[in-house]
Amino acid sequence: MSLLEEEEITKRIVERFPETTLGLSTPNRINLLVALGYLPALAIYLRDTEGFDHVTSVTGIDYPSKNLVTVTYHLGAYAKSAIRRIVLSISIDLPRQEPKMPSLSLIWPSAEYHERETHEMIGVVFQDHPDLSLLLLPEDWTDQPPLRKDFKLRGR
Amino acid sequence: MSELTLNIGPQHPGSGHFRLIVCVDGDTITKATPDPGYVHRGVEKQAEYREYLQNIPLLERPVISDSNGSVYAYVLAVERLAGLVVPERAQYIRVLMAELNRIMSHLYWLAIYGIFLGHSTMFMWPFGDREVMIDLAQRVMGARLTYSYFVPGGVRTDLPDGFKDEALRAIQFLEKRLAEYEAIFFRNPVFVERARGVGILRPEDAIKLGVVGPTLRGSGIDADARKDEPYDSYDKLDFDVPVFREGDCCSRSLVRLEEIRQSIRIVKQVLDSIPSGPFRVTHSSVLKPSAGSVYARTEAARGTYAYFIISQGGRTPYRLKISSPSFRNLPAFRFLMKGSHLADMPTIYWSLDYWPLEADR
Amino acid sequence: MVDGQGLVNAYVGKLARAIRKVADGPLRYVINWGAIYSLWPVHLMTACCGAEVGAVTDPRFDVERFGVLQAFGSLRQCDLLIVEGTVSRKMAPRLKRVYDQMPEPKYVIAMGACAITGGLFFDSYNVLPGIDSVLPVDVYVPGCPPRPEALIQAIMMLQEKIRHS
Repeated sequence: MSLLEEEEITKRIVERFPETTLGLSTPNRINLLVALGYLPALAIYLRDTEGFDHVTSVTGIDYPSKNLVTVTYHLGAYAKSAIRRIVLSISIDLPRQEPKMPSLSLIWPSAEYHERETHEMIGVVFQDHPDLSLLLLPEDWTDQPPLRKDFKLRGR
Repeated sequence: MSELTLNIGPQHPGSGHFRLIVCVDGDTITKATPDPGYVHRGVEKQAEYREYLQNIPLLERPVISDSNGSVYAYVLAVERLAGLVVPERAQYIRVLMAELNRIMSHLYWLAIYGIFLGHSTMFMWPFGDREVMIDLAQRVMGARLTYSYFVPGGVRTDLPDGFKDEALRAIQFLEKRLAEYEAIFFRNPVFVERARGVGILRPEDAIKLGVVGPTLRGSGIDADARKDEPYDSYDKLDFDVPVFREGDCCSRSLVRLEEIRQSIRIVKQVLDSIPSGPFRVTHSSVLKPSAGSVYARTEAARGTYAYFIISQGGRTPYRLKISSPSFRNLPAFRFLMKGSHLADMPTIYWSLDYWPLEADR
Repeated sequence: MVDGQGLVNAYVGKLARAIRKVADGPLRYVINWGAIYSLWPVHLMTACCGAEVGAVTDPRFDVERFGVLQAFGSLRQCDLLIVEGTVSRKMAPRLKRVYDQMPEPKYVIAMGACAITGGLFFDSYNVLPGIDSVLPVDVYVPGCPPRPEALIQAIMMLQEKIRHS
């Protein structure tokens, strides 16, 4: 299978948003590292022009050695069946002490619960999110976000 | 009429701990807020402390009724990271076991749907027939529900002798039973009254909310990871993806019934054409995949299951993210229950096939 | 002056105590016999083991012949609480509340490794290491998940325990 479709999409995105770097490319996957300043314009472009109409997952990753928190959105396409096989991921690097970024749930409503979970698990603040209260953790949780690397499991 | 706020759950005569906070005005629900998290076990954090092989029993527990479906994507992801090539016989066996699990999970769904709607015969019949499928699984994998059978590189043991005849007998029995289910449940005027036109999800809303699985296919969108991005031997097998256009509870139920039929079709083809050969590629039991990240998805019974694994070359994953279908179907609760009757709440709830353990991980 | 009403009260009290002493043995036997053959569990599908509780009520294992009926109505008419599986910190107070709402006499079965010691999820940040800190348990059923036959054996052991109480 040729990577023609993936290469074309990547070319178009990099043309419009020059500071985007491409991660390792494999069949059916496009991995992009984007600058914080491009959001939400990049998100609107991906939804309306390219056709990635829903978010499949939002992952927060804690890198204490690099002093970064990376938030990765995985996007899928339902309506455009030609690109249904492709999963596009956009990763944004944020400072570890105060990770803040605009919420993409205004553009993709499917991201709402995913962002809420990332907020409680890693501590990323999504600005303009409708409701960032605790979703999975108990209501009286006062400890630090559990998926941070400083949070060690009992006995490990 | 003033508004009343009701608490449905976490202990409720349904399935699993999950709370729905509904505001009712008379008989109409004005707002429904889902409150998950009562069975949150922190699997993603625990997976970072266990080796890749040790994660398999951990990751099949969230969806115990479809445990092969939940671990399939993980095994594919680890194989892609480690560069393992799976032998063809193992691919066919994995497809066979995944489809048997899909049948088991849908029968469980059907049984609980029966009891939700007050049809207790529909609880007993599918549960009894599910035991026939569980017997098949026990024959191959040794356990009733938690198998730990899929491993990176193939499957743990080979199919036993005489399995093909037993499986064909069980499949023929199930086909006859499906016709009976149609007669007493799906064509039952009570079911049709309660489910037709209830909880309608239009295609554009389904895309916007990002729902998966039969919830999506009941609204007219034929997305299925087995066809969009075929894995193992799905591209060599001949099957259809059932799609219904109405978007109500009835069409979501019929999608699942048809999926059982298509799974039976796949199982028959696999049993006919399974090649001989090794069932597992040998590798060191301590897998140390190269550094990198991988995103793998499969179609489990409830929808698309996806894993995002980041490895830094060590024995344990650096980050393991699980994207489970029930969590992705959560926005549908808020959306569909608004404006419906309180009596329609169980019908809509279970037509989405929400499994709290899978959503909470 | 002797209080007539007080004398009547004292005699009725002495009579009641005498009746209770005579009837206690056989009365307790009858009450226990009633409880043993109609243990109704609360519908509490805690975690994975709930699938095996569902399986134990199906036509193959049929726990209803032991009197264990899935009472889908209110939990105020149940006397058995089967905690199947992992109890998280969010769920623990609600579990205690469910237990408090059941009328006496009530019994608890801890089903599965997670309910006994935390099981496979022993090191998680949100899991109770067993439900002993929340509820008084009568029977422990090990397994992950225990087979339906093991659960039936647990119910029979509980029946023995009640019979001799």
